[in-house]
Amino acid sequence: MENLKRILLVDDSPRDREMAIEALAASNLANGVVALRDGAEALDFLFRRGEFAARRDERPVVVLLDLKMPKVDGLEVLRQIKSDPELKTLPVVIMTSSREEQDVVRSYQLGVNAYVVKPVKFQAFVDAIRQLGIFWAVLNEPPPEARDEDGAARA
Amino acid sequence: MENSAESNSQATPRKERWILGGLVFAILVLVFAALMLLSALSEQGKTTVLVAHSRDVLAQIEHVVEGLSDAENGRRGFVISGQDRYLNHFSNGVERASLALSRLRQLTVGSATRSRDCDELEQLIVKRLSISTNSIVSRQTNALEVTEQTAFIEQGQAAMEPIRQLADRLRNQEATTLETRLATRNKSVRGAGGIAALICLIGIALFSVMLILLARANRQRQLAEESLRRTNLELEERVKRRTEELKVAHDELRHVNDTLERRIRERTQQLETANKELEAFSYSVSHDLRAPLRHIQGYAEMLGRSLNGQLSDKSQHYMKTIIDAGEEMGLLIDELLAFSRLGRAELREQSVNLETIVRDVRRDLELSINHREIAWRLESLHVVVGDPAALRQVMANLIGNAVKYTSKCDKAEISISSSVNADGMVVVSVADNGAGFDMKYADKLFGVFQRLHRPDEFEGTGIGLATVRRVVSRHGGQTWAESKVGAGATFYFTLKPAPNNGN
Repeated sequence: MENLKRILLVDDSPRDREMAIEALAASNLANGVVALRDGAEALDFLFRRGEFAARRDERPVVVLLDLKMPKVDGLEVLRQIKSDPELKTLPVVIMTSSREEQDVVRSYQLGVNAYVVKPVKFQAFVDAIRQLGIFWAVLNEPPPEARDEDGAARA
Repeated sequence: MENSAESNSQATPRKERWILGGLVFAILVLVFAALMLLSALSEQGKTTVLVAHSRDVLAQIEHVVEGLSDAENGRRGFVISGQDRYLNHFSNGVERASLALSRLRQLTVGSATRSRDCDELEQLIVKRLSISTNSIVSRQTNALEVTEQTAFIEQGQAAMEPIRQLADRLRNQEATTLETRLATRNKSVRGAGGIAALICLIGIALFSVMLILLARANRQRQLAEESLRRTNLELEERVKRRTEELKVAHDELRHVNDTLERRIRERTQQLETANKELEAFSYSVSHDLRAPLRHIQGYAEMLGRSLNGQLSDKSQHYMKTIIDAGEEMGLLIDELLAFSRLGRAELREQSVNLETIVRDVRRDLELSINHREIAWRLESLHVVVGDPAALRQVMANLIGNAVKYTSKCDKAEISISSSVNADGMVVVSVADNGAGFDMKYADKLFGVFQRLHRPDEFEGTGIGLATVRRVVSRHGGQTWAESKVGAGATFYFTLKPAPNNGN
């Protein structure tokens, strides 16, 4: 069993993905990062279907989720996660450039665990990523994952 | 017809006067004729009396003669027969004659000659009667012989003769008088008749003239009525036409009005739509600009970190410039976003305590004040009506400006006060003794991204005052400022006061 604390990063912008990974690397949290490009991939990954049907490893300790994405957007991913009996305990942090009140409201209504607006200043961004990473991947005790008979992780 | 009526009415005043004169004259003539008739009638009455008088005289003369004759017959009868019966005849006759004579005297009392004639007659009668009485007396004594009788008769006749002559004379005289009187009476009758006829004629003429005048007046009245009726109809016709014209004009006006109103509505709608689109555009632009900006900033810093130590001073300076410029842009975008959000958001309407806001803003600004010495003059502020968050932004911007532009002063002074103006609005003022601005550029003061100082003098985005103006004007107030370069500035804005000052 791997003890690697995975962080799932979902963002449609390659630059934002690169910056986030850089920021995580600066905090030594880059090892368990899985970076996906849109909501569809994220859902396939989490529900172990499509191209990720064969995934066997543990679920991530936190999902850093962007809102504005093509195909399936962040709120839809959030909704699906939080309405699945097994995935709903998975911590989700929305990371977006939108400060729109209705986005915040709807996210919390869907059960998001945290809502962070990406700071424009890079240093502040790095600090925010560090704080998030340390909190969720280090400090926080992740919810136990359900396992099947042969010890493989189910969700 | 109309012409004659008109000419009649035009000629009437003069003609009328003539007609009136004629009528008056005719009436006067009538009156005169009537008077004449009256006098003629009274004349006639008098002559009738005279005629009767004459006739009476003649009758009495006859009575005298006849009475004497009867007496003579009686006497003869008595003389012959000696019967008393004949004496009665005689005395009746005598009485009749003497009655007639006395009546004659009465009738002729006015005339001297006539009276003398009566005297004469009387004498003669007396003489005659004495003869008669003689014979009667003789007979009464004894019967008379024929010769005696004849002698008496002859005596009697001889005595009767002058009586007859006198009676004839009198008769003739009276007959002549009677004739004259009759003639006079006839003449006066004829005269009266003539006058009566004249009166009748004049009366008929007058009556006819009046009838004619009446008929004419009637006809004129009818004509006038006719023309009046026609004029009335004409007027009604005109009124109807005018009313219709007015109605048409009114309808047109209403139509134009409706069209205008519709256009105004359309235009307003267009403006509102354009405004909303602009707002949405500026919002989405600012929003979408943040991502690339973040990337620029981020990668610049990452570049810097990865080149750590390898950069020359100049390169480092360039790097820093890129990063600083990015920061500025970020600030601008944030402010623009906030500014446009203010335009779109609903503003709350509640009592707002400005003093509380000022206190909070001062606390937030402590960091930028950084223990610099500022003399705060804070008066008690009126409670106003508005959106607390938006008004907080206003005070933050104004007080922030005051703090910023006094940063180069030794002794900075910032005063905040409020008053009520003539229209009942609350006027809030934020004054400082800092750098001030040139009033020449005052109209640019509240413009978006307009600055009156260079970035190396004072930093800033130029959107703070634009935000203030926008918030205040959405609250229905005004914003303005006064300043003198180097002597500070005072910023004013007006807001609605809370009723009962903040219940």
